[in-house]
Amino acid sequence: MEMWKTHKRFIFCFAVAILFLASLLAGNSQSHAFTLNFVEGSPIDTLDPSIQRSRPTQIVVDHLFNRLVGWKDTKLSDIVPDLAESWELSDDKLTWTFKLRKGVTFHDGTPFNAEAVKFNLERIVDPKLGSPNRSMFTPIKVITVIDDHTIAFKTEKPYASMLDNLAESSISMNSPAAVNKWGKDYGQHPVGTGPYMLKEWIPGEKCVIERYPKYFGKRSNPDVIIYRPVPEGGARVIELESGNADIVNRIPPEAAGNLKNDPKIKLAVIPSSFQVFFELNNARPPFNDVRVRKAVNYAIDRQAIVEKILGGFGEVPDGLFPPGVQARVALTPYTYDINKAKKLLAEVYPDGYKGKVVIWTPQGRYMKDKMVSEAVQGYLNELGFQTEMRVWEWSSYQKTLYRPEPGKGTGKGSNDADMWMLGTSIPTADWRLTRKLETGNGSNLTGYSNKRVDELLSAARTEMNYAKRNQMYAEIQKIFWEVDPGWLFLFNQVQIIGMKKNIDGLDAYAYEVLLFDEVTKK
Amino acid sequence: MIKFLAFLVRSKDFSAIGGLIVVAAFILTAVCAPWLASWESATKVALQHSLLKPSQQHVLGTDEMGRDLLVRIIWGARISLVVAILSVSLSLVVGVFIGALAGYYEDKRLSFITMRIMDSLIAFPRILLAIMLITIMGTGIVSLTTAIGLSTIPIYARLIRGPVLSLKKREYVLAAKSIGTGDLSILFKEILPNTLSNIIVQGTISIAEAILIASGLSFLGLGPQPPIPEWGAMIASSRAYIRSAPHVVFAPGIALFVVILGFNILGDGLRDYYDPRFKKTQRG
Repeated sequence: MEMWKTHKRFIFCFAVAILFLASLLAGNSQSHAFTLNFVEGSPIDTLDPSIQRSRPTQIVVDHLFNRLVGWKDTKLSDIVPDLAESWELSDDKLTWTFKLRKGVTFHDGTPFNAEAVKFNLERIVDPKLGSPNRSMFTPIKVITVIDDHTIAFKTEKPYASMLDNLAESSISMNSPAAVNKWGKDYGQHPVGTGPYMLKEWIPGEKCVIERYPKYFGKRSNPDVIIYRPVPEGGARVIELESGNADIVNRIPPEAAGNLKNDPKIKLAVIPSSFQVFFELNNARPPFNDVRVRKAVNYAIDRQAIVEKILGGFGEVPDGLFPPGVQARVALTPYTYDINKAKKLLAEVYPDGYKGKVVIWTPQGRYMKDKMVSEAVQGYLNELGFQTEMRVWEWSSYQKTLYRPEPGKGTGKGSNDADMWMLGTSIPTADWRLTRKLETGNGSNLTGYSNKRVDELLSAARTEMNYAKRNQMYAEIQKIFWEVDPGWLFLFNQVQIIGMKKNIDGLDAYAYEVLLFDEVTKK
Repeated sequence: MIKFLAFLVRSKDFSAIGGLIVVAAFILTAVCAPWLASWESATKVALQHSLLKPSQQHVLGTDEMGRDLLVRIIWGARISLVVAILSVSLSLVVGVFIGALAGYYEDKRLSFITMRIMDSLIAFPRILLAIMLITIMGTGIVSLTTAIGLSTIPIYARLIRGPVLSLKKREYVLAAKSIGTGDLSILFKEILPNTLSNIIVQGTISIAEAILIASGLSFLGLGPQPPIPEWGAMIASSRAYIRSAPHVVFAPGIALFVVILGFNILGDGLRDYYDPRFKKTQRG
């Protein structure tokens, strides 16, 4: 008490000084920059476009990079110029010549030119890089740099998917200087030509990208975009409700009801080209027999899963391609027929399958992934299988599944799991089918091999007539869905995106990538 | 046992009696689980009945997969009991052995080093230790039990060493030594029986802790995998429905709360029973 009395005046002045300084600091942290706070469900795996393989990551990557060509709009109605201004195809349909945009620079200041394009195309097909998208570009046999802004690709046979594949995020143009400088660590120091550049990335916590002032294209609205992964569905909803986030992806279905009534928030429910399924290990029993694969497809009550687990936010699939995917045909949905399933199974294992079926599932990547897997496990148990489940966190799940060395991960003849949950939203037919159905493709984890499918895939790739191509893709879909299924099909996803009422201009693609360059915040 | 009951009644320790009843009910439920409800009804998925409120058909309602909650709680009790008893037994046997030897041979360097290692392990947070062990061994009931057991060993080592140190100076020990009884024989026949009270009290409390740690680890996804019903895992899976179907979250939560509290209070009651200050009310 004595201290208070004698030093009263000093303490008073000290307190005022502190308050004054605090108010100054508070004033400084208010900036006039338009910062967009975005929350997703999974963390970024790597920012190297040629190796990353998840749509959440692609959301960031697509703001940092450009490709030679792009899609006109979210409906994928047409291919439009991006880094390539124009192109022409030779009469023999084997040589594609691209004229490149002039005056474009990478974020590190180095110029974008034909040499850079050649560098990137050679890099992505290099087996040492281990790109999952390698086989999209191996048909390009010769790359010729004609001058700084003209480049030609020559293929052996007509390559119908050339433009579709060049529009893919994986062949985004990286700065050769940066790739050479950072080597293995390039994924943490991405350098592109895009409207934004990487400011800071703390893996698992947040990724901050800010405007690249010398971008060649239309000026985007947000100055800064912050990407934060919040794997827990309920926590994501809280981020939205508390105002911490402007846009939140993957709103869990049970929260959608409450959020619809919240006056500060609006929900966008968008169709998706995403289909979720269990890939089956075709290389070993029990799923090496097509009858067993068919049997499990009849043993699942997909309607119940969509209604009870997804809360109605999902679709029972009527074919291999959801609506919106190139060359899609509607086929017959699988019915829930446990007796038919048991009969099919009994043809192969009359006394039942004695072994254990190992199920792998990620958690927090697909809508209600773990719960759906538990339900599927229940249906398999009812069918008579003994099952064992393992729940994975997404990054380690991906790394384990897609290990480049054959025999160390799943499928490819190795024996770690019998079924694992995955999904795909690729909207172009050739790539969507080739990477998973073609015998021996690096992303074909199941070991699926069907001669007719391989024939059709090669033929379609060189068929320049659009109608004929689509017919071939239709036949492939029919084979893989009904005749010789390789997977246990589950459901087609629906995107539930939550955002503050004052947010507008979000571009949401059916393949589950969001672009923020035209977003406005009132 | 009867003497203990009589003690509790005489000292009007009703909460301890309550604890004893809870513990008895828990053990009884866990042991009789296969006769109370089938394993199938605890694990079979029936989506049409998911998230039903409590009713005559399902006394506690159903969980998000349509399984009866009461049945899953009963089987969850069995799993919690198994994990708790096995892990405590593991840590008890090993820990007491280490502590007794370290106490009896206190002048040896090995004992000194061993006890310092025990001290440093106690300083380490037990859950973290358990998580590390599970990461190495993989998930499942066996690794859960082993992880909890191993991380509890230091507690028993420390617990036993003190009493052994003082007991080994008693006359009957010196007498036994003088007639040539072997060291181990003295330890197990003369000294340890007198530490039994400490062990029983700590054991009861350890069981409560083991149940808590096990459900905590299962909540994090490090315990038995679906569809095995474990109370912690049940809370984790039903978290998303806390607003729409709270009974699914609260049923296992309240079960955990009551059982752990019961064991703790029972442990307190036992401690009072063995406390020499209560000698007057003890054993008439």
